[in-house]
Amino acid sequence: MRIARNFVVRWMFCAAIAALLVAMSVAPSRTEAQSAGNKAVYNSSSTCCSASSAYIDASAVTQGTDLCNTLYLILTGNGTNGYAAYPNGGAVIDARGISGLALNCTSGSPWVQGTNLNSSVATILLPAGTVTISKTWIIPEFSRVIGEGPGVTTLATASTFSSSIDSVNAMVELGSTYTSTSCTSGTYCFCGGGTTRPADCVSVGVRDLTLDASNYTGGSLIIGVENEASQELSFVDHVEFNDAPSSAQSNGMLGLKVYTDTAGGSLISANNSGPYSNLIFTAGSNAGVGTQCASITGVAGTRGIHGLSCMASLTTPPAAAITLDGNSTSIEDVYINGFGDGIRVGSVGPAQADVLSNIAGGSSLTNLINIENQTGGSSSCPPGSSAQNVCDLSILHATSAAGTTIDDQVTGASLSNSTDPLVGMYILGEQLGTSTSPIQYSRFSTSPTYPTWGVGNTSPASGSSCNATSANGSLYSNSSSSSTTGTLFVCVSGAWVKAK
Amino acid sequence: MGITRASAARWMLIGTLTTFFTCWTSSPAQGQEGDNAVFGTSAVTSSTAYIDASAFPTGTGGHTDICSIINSIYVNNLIPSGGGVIDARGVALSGSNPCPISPWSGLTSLPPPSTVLLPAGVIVINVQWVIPNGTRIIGDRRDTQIAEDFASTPTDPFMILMGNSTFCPSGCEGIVIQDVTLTQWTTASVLGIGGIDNEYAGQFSYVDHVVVNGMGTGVGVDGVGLKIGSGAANSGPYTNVNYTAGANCTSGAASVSCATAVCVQIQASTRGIHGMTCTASSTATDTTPPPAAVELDADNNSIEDVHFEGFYDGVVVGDSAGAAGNVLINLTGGYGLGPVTNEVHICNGAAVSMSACTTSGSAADLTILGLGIGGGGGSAFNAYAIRDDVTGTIVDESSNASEGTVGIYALGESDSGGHSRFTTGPFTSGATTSQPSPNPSPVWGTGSSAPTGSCPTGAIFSHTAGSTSTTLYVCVSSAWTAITL
Repeated sequence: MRIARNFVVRWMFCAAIAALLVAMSVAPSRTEAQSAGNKAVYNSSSTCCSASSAYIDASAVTQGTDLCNTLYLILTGNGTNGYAAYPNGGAVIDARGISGLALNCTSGSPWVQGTNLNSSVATILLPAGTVTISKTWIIPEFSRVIGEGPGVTTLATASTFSSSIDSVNAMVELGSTYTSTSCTSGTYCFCGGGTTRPADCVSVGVRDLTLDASNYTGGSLIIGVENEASQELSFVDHVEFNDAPSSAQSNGMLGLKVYTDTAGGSLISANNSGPYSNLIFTAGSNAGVGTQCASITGVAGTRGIHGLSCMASLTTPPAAAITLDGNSTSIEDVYINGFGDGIRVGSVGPAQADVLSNIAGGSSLTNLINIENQTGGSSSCPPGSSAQNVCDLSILHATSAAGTTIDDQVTGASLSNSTDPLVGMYILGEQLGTSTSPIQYSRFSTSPTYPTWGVGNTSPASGSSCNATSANGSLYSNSSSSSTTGTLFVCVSGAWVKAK
Repeated sequence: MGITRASAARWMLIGTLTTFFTCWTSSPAQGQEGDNAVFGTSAVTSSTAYIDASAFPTGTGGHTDICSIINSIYVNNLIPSGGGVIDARGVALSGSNPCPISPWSGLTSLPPPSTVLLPAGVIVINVQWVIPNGTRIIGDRRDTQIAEDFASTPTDPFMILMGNSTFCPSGCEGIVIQDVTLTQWTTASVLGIGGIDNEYAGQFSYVDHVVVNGMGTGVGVDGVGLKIGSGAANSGPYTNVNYTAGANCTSGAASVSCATAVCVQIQASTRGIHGMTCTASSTATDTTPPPAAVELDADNNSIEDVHFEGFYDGVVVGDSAGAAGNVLINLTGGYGLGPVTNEVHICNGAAVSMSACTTSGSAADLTILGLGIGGGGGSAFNAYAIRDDVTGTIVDESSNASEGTVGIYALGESDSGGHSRFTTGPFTSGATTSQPSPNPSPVWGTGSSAPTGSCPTGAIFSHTAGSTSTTLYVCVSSAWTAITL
């Protein structure tokens, strides 16, 4: 009996040791300083594990009420609120491990919860799946939001989506002009300013995700990404904008808005921001009448839009896919279909020294490029206060499938798809001379529909036809001419006339 | 019997403990230092997806700084032969713990291709970094700052070299620098050090989202931000670059020659520069402002979406070597930190005061689209979109707060004493104390009525509703004259 007791005691002792060892073998070593969310790596003894702060895994911290709340709690962590003190220099927060109901963000955004805000710097990696957002995500300076790819990571509006503390009805903002005396980060809560930092939101970016406004049932125009506060090194890349509501929507979605307030005297702007690259915009048949891919307004210059597909399938095509009312902006490698105008230039403000390159339109388009003949007091196109909004516009390689390829209302030139489905070069310069009605501009186009300069090694025999209605004044150089056949010809009243 | 039972129990205990100890020491499986820990099929195991540099000890008996830690990974051949990722984002940085060596110092053979992820914070370097073939260094946004604090000026005075003759015996490929800020340490004593020099790296080598600037203490890099040498053909693109010269380039400040403050030098055909801002502090009365932001001395380059402030010339073309077949698109110059006198300056083999143009340069076949230049800045200052010394042309004067713009300016080649050239203007131009008297800038105008007003001599005008005597006009002595056909 005594032996039996001893045996049991011994085995209890063994079991206790075994349990301890099992626990030791399962739980990672906690000898290294660590916080929840640190990743585990093999240490210098080649055993597992030490903590690494290479990034913070948001799925391993105490979860908030939803993804946004969890991220907010990480960003505002101070070491005493249940979350590790967030690094002053910022960190990478990997939220790719969060899934399920937590992706329904009803609490606010990672940087704003109710009236509370923070401007902590972070690169946030979002998970695959749909993250439903109820409020605008205002991204502070130096910060980036990165998904797993368009169509893989989606930020989708809740039906009751509404703006955040700055009242901008955008899904995502690159910085903000929002100010508050309670902000310690500067005059502009998300972008510095004042005595502490310059008012200059830089290096704000959004990448590799879809912004979907389909579920939005509100009456306002909803903006995918708005930038009116971020400048150098701020960008949007590989982002898809989608608005395919199941029932009729009031105003629809404006995918990208780049805006500088030229009248308000604001210290911050979207000047020198971009590039805005590799974008896709799709609007379904129930999207609202305000549907638009992009608007660029008031900027002194940007790094341009490079790579954009812009498609709408509304019964009544929206007015314009892209409105360009800013200076020194390049727009290249663009396809547009399903709108009235593809690119509408200078309709509400100055648009000078812009470059459009490789612009293609689909079969459902009225004007691929519409150059408006508007005037504005802030335009510095010569000759002055009554100047047109548009001058020094360079267009390279415009291709239409229907309608008008280039409708230049400034000089009255209309290059239709029937005669000019491809236009190699169309450069609208500046006003020449003093006549403003009809206006006279320097202009060059490779289209033979309007005055151009042709060349060949045969002679357009005097009297042979040229475009009678619009190409009057075209030139032609015969490169193998003789004194009898002629070298220089001019198109007059529909026929070539030898000038020399 | 009792003894037998006791003995058996003891042996069972020993066996059990042995089993557990064996299990404990072997599971989780041993991994290489820095390996990532992941759950395997039955236990935590190691992954070589990347090597976490923060797992390497620092301090006594270990490594003292991030560069030494990374260097040990290379020197000890811990990177898989096919290549790997070194994740150093968890390494704590301290300015009091500078890098005495580079991450690639002491390598006796070319390392495998690798990507090095750098942490946010300041990495103070005492020596130049030379990046080997196939190596990418990627920071944490612009919050990764690499700060120069050299003891002496290296032979090639740059902070980072994209390859060298040792690492690139047959040229290099795939050297990448991304998401970092290059600057000088606050107590740096060696000034005039540049940012990045690429003399060896070609295809698939690029720079993206890189800032080269000072730290707001009056000490800036004040060297060349980015140099693309003749051995870097087909490299690029160089995208989203931001260069700010030090504040001591302002007139009156001493110690640094602003002539060394250059944003980019291009001496090879590349995939271009797309997206860049170059700024320097200067004033309209400076006699020695930084001469040029971009020195373009090679053929076949595109420079697009660029903004300048504070340099005498924005882009100087062919200042010290021939430059042909280049394309400039969407450039702007503004009076922010300082004025830009000529946004694009085309050299003609003659030295020009305040400019980088020398007697050994030339330019031809240059296409410029979309220029915007702003003068003023609160004071009277005239700026010019284009100064073309080849044809003696100045295009578009921007005075005070007005902005001058140009649609197209295409300079061709020499032809019968002149040059082939086409521009849409504009037409206002005038000599100033700092510029030569310009030749007129002939353009081709069009309209549905006869032209009126003064005009640039040599211009032509097509009247789209004219007759044989009123269709084509030529500007003679600044007045339009109809050509009777």
